[in-house]
Amino acid sequence: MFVGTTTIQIKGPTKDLLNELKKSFNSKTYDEVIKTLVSKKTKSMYGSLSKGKNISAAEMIKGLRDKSDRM
Amino acid sequence: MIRVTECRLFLDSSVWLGYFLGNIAEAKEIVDSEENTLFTSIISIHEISKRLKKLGKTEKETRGAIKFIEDNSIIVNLNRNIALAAAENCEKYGLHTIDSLIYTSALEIKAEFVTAGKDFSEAPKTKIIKI
Repeated sequence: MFVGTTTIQIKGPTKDLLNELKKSFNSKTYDEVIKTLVSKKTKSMYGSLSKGKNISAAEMIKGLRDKSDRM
Repeated sequence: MIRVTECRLFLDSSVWLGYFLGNIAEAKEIVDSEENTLFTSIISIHEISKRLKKLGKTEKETRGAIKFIEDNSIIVNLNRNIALAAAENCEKYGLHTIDSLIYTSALEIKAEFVTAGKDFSEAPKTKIIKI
């Protein structure tokens, strides 16, 4: 089956986002980016890793990032 | 699904961790809202993975969390512009290297930076979630 191409109109900021996604997904074409986007499904994962020991937000971020530079 | 909207938010590692661990309620509003286009630094992928493992989460749980981030936000890699601008922002806003690299990544793509870290009080275009 021959799969042709078509032209769609999108706003400038949307094109910018598609460009960012293209880099992020390592996609070669906008077609690939859009296919990846529409195939992704998700549902909320809020608190999904909260079981077990209760950890406060303050405790959670303590020492998360090194606060001394290498040089 | 990554939503393409006008509200561009760049989430720091602390916000994502608070989301998964359920201890930052505001993170739920931000991540689950359909109004926001989310961005995450590649450095945060490293930090979140490391921290979840340290907190005793399993490999499967950690991978699930990282996949969720990849599915719901645009991962921003480092580049020359970010590296050079981050050096200036270290001095300008009193940030440490990693803080500055992540913060400058947000500036580079013109997104608001959202963090639960206290070290960004001098940095413009930043929303600090109080914890």
